[in-house]
Amino acid sequence: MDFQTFRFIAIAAILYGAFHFAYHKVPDEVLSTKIYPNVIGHFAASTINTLTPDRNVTVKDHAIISKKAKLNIVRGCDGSGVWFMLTAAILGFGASVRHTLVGFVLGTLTVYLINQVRIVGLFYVIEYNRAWFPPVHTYFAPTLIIFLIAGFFLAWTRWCSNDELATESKEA
Amino acid sequence: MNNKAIGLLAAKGLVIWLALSLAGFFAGDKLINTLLPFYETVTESASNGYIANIKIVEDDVVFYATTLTARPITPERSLPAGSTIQSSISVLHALVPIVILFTVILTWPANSLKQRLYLLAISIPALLFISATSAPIQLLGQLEIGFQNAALKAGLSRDEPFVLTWMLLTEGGGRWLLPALTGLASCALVVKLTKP
Repeated sequence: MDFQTFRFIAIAAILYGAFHFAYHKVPDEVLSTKIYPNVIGHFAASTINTLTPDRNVTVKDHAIISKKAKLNIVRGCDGSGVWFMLTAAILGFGASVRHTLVGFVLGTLTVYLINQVRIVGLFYVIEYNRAWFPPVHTYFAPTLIIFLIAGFFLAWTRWCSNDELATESKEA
Repeated sequence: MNNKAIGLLAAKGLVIWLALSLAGFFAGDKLINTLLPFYETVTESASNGYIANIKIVEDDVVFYATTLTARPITPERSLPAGSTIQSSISVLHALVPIVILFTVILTWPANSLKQRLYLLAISIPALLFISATSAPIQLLGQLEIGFQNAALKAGLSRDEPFVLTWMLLTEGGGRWLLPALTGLASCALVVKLTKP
């Protein structure tokens, strides 16, 4: 293994650990009464109500509720693990400040949108067939999300390399 | 690598992810079943106080832990030696890091048969590494959560043991990062080893 790969893996792992421990300092109550309803719940409920107005979904703290289904957003279901992973990888890659900032902002948006799709999708899964929830929630969704995030990271690293090459050739 | 090659690599990755996910969903219990003796060895080594008996019961990996010595929960209360307690995780849960690891290794664009063979060979220790650091620790961590709750009920706080810290780290997303980085490191190592 070359030094650059080793450095990337070590920095990403250390940063991930640091983000994880900082996240666990946030009390559950703050997450479930402030962050989850305002950052995740209301947007997911609006999406569901727009797609299927008859559901008349409401949000109460960390729960998205309709007549047929109730989905609780709990610690770890907020996309934080994937966000920490991607941010650690972007910072560990060692790109320029501008590229890192662009990667961080776009990466955050991507993780947020993917997680919103997951939350809305899980709501419909519970409503349609509750037995499908465990395999989708614990197995298919996490592995697919990791794959999508890896795709984003690959595209970002490619953009960084191409952009740096273009800048260098302009300067030359 | 040009845009077309990257597109093909992404498509290959998606197909591999789908194939592995479906294989795991329908037949993953067979793979986990072969790993059970390894899980038992790891749980016994990591806990240093249990005889481990791990079985698949329906869709769950169930850990029956028999205490070798009395385990203190509070200053006044302890679990007597010889008691058997249990914890469990779902088979699908145990498969997640394995699917991620093999998606990375099989998607990696190997450029020769030699590299592919090396990748296959390195995937075995990589599989054992991520298996050792995920499911068995989670099973032990679940037991520790029971002890922590019992201590809390008694109005006492108990030091968080390392297996519980590790379980929380891996359950928060570490069990996705670990196989992704292990897969990447395995591929980088193979590239280095097969360099002409």
